[in-house]
Amino acid sequence: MPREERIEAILAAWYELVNCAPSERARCRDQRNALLDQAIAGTRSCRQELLEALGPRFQDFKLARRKEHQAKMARVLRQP
Amino acid sequence: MEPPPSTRWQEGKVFAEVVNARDMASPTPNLVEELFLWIKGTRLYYQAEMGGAPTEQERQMQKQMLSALISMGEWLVKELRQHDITAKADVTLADVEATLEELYVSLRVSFGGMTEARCAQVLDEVFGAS
Repeated sequence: MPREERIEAILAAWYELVNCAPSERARCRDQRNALLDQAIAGTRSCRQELLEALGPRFQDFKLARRKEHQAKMARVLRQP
Repeated sequence: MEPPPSTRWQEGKVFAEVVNARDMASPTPNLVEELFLWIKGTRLYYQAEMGGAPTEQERQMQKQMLSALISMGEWLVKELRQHDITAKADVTLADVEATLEELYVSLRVSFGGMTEARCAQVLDEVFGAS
């Protein structure tokens, strides 16, 4: 899978983890961590280090998702 | 001049102050109530985080809130391992532990201080050079 798609997949799983219902936290954490483990396999990086490195990208990802959501809501509210 | 902090971070600061005050005031707190409060606090935290890059004043509030949530979460996990009442809040102990773990991740990501150059180096090592 290309670099950007792999990064996007982790960011999407991370986003789901911080936005899921409290009763989904363990499942979502395991899903995100499985993607992290796949990514770091064979490298010298650990999960925590990769999350820190992805932090700034995650901040942008969250903002983009929020804007998408707001635009969607505005469209729904404009509908007659 | 820095803009005033967002309402959500201000709510977070109040939350942290309430949590810290409760620690001192209540020697035998109700575990179910504490769990609900903590879950609500974590939701509030993530909502505030969605608001974009925080100002310096908001970063202070963010750190204060994270510290309060982590401290309360550590206490909750310790108590819940002895008296697991998580079903009353429709969660499991694993969910509570995962939430606490994630708060530590937020602390490291927001305040860990990894340089931009190091971030790029890690991403290149893991995903290949862009």
